[in-house]
Formats: sequence, C-alpha cells, structure tokens
Amino acid sequence: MEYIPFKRQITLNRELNKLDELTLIFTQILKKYTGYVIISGYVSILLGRARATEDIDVFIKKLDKKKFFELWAELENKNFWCLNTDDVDEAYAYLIEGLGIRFAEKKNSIPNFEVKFSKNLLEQKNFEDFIKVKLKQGEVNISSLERQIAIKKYYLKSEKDIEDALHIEELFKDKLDYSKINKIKSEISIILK
Amino acid sequence: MNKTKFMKPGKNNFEDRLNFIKFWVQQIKDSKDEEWSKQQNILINSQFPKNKN
Repeated sequence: MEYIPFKRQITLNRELNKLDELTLIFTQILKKYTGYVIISGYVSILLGRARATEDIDVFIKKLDKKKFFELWAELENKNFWCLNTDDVDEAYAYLIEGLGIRFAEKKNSIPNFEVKFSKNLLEQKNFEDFIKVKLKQGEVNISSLERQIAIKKYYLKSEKDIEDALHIEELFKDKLDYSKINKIKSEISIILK
Repeated sequence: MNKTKFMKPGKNNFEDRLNFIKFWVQQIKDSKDEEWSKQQNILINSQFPKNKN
C-alpha cells in the first residue's frame, strides 16, 4: 500500500473481496452521473480494517431531477433496488430533504449503499480533498484520511468509530497532516455548538 | 530471521480491540497487500450469501 499525500492517491494491490467488487460496480455507475466520495466505515475496511459492515456511506454531488432519474434507471438495470421506495420522485425528494437513501443488490438488503447529498460546509469539503484509491481492477474516491480521522474521533465518537480512526492513524501516522486534523476538529466544534 | 511480534493484551474489551488494531496494522505494514487482504477477505466475504458469484 502506498500513499502519496500530495497526489491525494493511494495505490493498493489488495485482493478484492465481494464488498470491494460491489463497490466498484456501484461507483462506476454513480460517477457517470455525479461526483461521489465514500466516507466512514468502508474507508477503513478498504484500507485493511478487519471488520464487516452493513452499509457503505456515499456523499454525492447534488444533481438535478432528470439526471437522478437516469441514474435511478441505470441502477435498476444493473440489478440494484432502493430499500426506501420504488418511486423515483419520492427517492429524489428524500435526497433533497437531506435524507440518505439506500441501494442494495436485488433480493438483498445487506450490504447496501447509503447515498446522500452533502448538507453543510463540513460535508461539502469532502469533495475538495478526497483521495483516489487505485486498485488493480479500478479506482474509488474516498474521504481524505485527516477528515476521516477527525470526523470519527471528534464527531461520531462511538467505540467503532474510534477504532476505525485508530486503524487509519496507525497505518499512515508518518504521512498525516495533524494540523489539518486539528483544523477539522475546530470546524466540528463550531457545528456542534 | 524475523522476530515474531506479539500483541499486548488489553485490560478490558475496548482496550484489547485497540491493541489488536495496532497489532493488525503492523501485520499490514509487514506484509504484501495480497497477503493481508486474503485474511481480511475471509471475514468480509462471509457476510455474502454463499450462492453468489
């Protein structure tokens, strides 16, 4: 595994598991219609954390209704279903409301992709500094490592989140920008006030 | 010859899990991606139905 911070790129020669394969399929569809960044637990798992997950959290850039309908149609054609509704208008309304909607492979509910629009500045910043993870079979966009650590340690704060943050911190401790982590920590404290 | 690295036991569940994470990260650093990911994939793939490709 090689992380080059200034390129915002990680090269990972891992053997893919079924979760990685599904993520590549899903994100290859997503990126035809809008920008995306994977956040939270799957980021740690992709980078080696030994735990399972029921969902993969994804921020997508806001897209208009017509584009979303096209995305919805392709997801349906490629064997995904929405766990929240079978009505595309309703699904779009959920996104506009700031809610996440979940997609899984047809006949399954787990694992699923929770897709949402970024609601505030802190969430929107995921699109400014995301990292590309280059795998042998494709690439995926993940949240910056510093952002991931700060959100998990200072915002989400469950034991699972602390563990995910520790995994990333231990793995990349020589390459992390700790001043950036502290800056994001300050931004989080403003939001929490 | 490489000296075997051991994991420090935790005083409670949470500390033990944190110690394991540090231990596992060291294994990731000490081995090739193809090697550690094989172990991790046993866990991840077990959540998928067996009849899937």
